[in-house]
Amino acid sequence: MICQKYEKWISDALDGALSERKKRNLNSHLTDCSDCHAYQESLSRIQAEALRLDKAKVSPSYWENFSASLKKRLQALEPEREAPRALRLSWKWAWAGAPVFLALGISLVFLLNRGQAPENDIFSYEACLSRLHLEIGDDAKLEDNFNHVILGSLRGGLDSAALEERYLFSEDPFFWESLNEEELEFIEQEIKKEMKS
Amino acid sequence: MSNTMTSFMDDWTDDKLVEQAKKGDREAYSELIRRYRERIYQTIYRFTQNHGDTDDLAQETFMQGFRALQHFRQKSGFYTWIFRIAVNQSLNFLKKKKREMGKEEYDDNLLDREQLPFYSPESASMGKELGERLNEAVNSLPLPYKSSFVLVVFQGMTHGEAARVLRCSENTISWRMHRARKMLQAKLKRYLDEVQNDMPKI
Repeated sequence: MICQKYEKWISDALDGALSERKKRNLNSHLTDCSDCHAYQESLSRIQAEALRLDKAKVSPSYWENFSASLKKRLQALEPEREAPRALRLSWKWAWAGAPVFLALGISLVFLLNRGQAPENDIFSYEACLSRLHLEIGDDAKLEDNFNHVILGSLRGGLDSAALEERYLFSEDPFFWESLNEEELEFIEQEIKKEMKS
Repeated sequence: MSNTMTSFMDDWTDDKLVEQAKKGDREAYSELIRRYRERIYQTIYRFTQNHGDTDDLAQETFMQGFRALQHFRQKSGFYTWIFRIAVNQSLNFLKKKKREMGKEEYDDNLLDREQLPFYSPESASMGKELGERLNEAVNSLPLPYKSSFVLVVFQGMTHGEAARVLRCSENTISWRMHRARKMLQAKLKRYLDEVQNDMPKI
């Protein structure tokens, strides 16, 4: 278990994301643990090899054509006009209704996946959220509404203090990765209980 | 774009170019394209692995960027914003492609599949270099891990920068990198061991 922590630190160190204190701690562990030392060596090898991988080869003339083609397409674009007031108002109503549609959408995705997901596959839930997340894309308002809906349902089961401590999983469809093994096991058990009921 | 115009805009910051482009100045936007086209292209190429699709997606990234520029609130840099569009385009492209091919969207059980015959002594003797194997292994990573790996390792972004592009926390990027490396190491382990054993002892 203790080596799992150091394995993650080895990865962080390769990305230059490890504090000096942790680096010293890691180095001291590496001198004592041959498994972690070997793991570090193989990751360093992979990292070095990745940096050596060929980049896409592109000729200078390609960039001239690339820019010329884009410039032509840009010139053909009409400048964006402000939407008429009536349209803007209707969008306002659309935003107001978005949480309801999102809640329905999420329920539908979960229901559809419920029958297919094996009991021990908690990551199928992650996939449900990631699809929604990708649909939201760059749309900040839609994202806010999405967060609002998820938070609303979370508040029903958690006290507000606990909610503040845990970062919003709705912000990140892959939040499972931030949890440790113990937390994952707990969630898995809860999901199994839920599915049985 | 004239050379005079290009050199004139060389000194402009991204923010200034964005401001001008928002006013409809296509030359300013062309300068932003010139600054980032290669990095965007290389990033998309890591996802698509072919020039035709990369060309289409890179062009579409900048077109989409221009169309959405009015909604860009400049809370992040243009660089982060345009990278986010490029990565989203690439991920949507791969998802669509996988759907068309009838494959699963994400392969989250990868860690449990270390026994797949990715490595075999026969294939090793075919002279495949570690680089090729690594390329294949990176391409087989599930998309969340692959996108983090591409941005951090190939684009040299910090965890913070990658987090802003992928709209998640730094902690998430850190975990994804850790798990991506575990998957790569699991896939390449036997080959790495083999190479290690063949190396002369010092």
